[in-house]
Amino acid sequence: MEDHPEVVLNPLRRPLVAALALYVGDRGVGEELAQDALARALVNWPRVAAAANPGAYVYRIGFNLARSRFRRLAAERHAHVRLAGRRATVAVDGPETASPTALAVRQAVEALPPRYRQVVACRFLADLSVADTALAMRCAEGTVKSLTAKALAQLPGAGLEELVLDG
Amino acid sequence: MGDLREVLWATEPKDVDVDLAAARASADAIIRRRRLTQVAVSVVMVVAVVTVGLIAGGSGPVAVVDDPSLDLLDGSCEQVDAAVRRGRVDVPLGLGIQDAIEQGLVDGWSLAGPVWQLPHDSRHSEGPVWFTAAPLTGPGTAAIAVWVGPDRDATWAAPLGADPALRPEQTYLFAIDDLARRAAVWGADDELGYGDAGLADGAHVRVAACAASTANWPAGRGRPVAPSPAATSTTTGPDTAVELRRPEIRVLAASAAYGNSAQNRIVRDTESLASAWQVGDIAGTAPTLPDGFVGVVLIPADMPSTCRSTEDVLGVDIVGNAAVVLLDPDGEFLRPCPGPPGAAAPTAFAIAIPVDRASDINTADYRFDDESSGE
Repeated sequence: MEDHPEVVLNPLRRPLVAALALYVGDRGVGEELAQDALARALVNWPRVAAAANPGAYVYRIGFNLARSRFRRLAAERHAHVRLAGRRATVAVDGPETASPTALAVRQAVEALPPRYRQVVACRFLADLSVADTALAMRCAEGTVKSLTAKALAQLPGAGLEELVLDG
Repeated sequence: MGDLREVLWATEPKDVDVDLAAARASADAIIRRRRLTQVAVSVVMVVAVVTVGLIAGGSGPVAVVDDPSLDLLDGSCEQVDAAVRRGRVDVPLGLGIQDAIEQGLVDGWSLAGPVWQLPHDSRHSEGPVWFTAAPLTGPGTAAIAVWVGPDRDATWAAPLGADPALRPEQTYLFAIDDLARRAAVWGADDELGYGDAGLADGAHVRVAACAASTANWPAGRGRPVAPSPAATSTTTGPDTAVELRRPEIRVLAASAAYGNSAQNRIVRDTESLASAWQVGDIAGTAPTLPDGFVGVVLIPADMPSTCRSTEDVLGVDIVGNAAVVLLDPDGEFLRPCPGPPGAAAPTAFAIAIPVDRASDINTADYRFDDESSGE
């Protein structure tokens, strides 16, 4: 099954975009990164397919691309808006039925530091396990747990008391 | 209310503009391009090693260029004048590229020669894409840094490694921004988006060769070594270089006012620098500052006074909401000066000048008071 890239990659399209958009703070950029990540996954498919979780590996590619973009933007900070202090600015264009509380949660997540947003994206949008998140983020599983706990700890206080956080 | 997963997905659009067929087409293009450029990357390495051999007075390893008819130094490259370069490159992307190479070097890396550029027509962009290269030196290593252009989203540096076994995938990438302060051997991860070393083509080869041919490696660096963990570790140089950048950011963030108070603010902030740095005299540069600009020069504390020459100041560049003094990369500031035995040569300079009206200034119209650039 995993010999057929499309079988693995096609279901990843939406969650990959969602995760990358949350991470980089821009949905359009998230889509571009996702497209590029899928292309690179296809280029290197034997390696991707050999990973413990090919899907997580694709997320890793996407995050690498995002960091590369961060680097370029930071390097060009004199010519562009400075990244320092910049918060994620994901345009929430989800269903109009999204509740105010959901939007508040979204905004609270977007305000998290990048590493926290990344772990939230992996765990709650990409639905990756701790182990797969560690693969995607290139860190230890303990780091994933720690980052998740810290990220979630920063969410309450924004009107999120009703949430049952699934860590 | 459901869990966080549910809540986040409730804010996500149903459709995404990501097409697997398009990804497949991109992948095919990447594969084709990679096959074509693998040869070019190898040529970069050959040229680099040959250059190192020449620089080292023949004592270094010398490789043979397989195809002598390949004129890599064919006059396309243009040396970028330190004083006028910002009027030459495409903005806004090119602006940042040169900033990155010149000012963004961290972890002890510094320029070892002029910056070179090569205009390259690309069907993917309007007008030429400027490829930029500069020779760099770092702890125990010398390298040619090449920015492959704004459409490639990558910076890479070909190590002038003496190790003939050094392979292209061991391309040495330098952290040249605030987000990644450490140099790292990125290895084969370029395939995963860390950098597109494999995408080098003839343009990169030429501009890298130009840079290599004019490198002025400091004494003791003529025969660089291959990247090693030691080369990437932080030492006194790297620490000071990193520290140098932090107050700049803080000052800029608090730059509502200018004048003496702002200058004092810079001085105060720079007191938090590593002790290897100290605030220099700006008197010699003051006449070149536009009205309303102030600043200080930061210099290595162990630099002999005879080496502190303001003649190396080429001018002032307005970048974003700050002004930066341009220093002649070939000037005394960047030359090893006689000093106490073992004293490190000066490696970096920076000046942050807060202003509150820089956005009104058109950098293209700004002309530098430059007597030393030959322009």
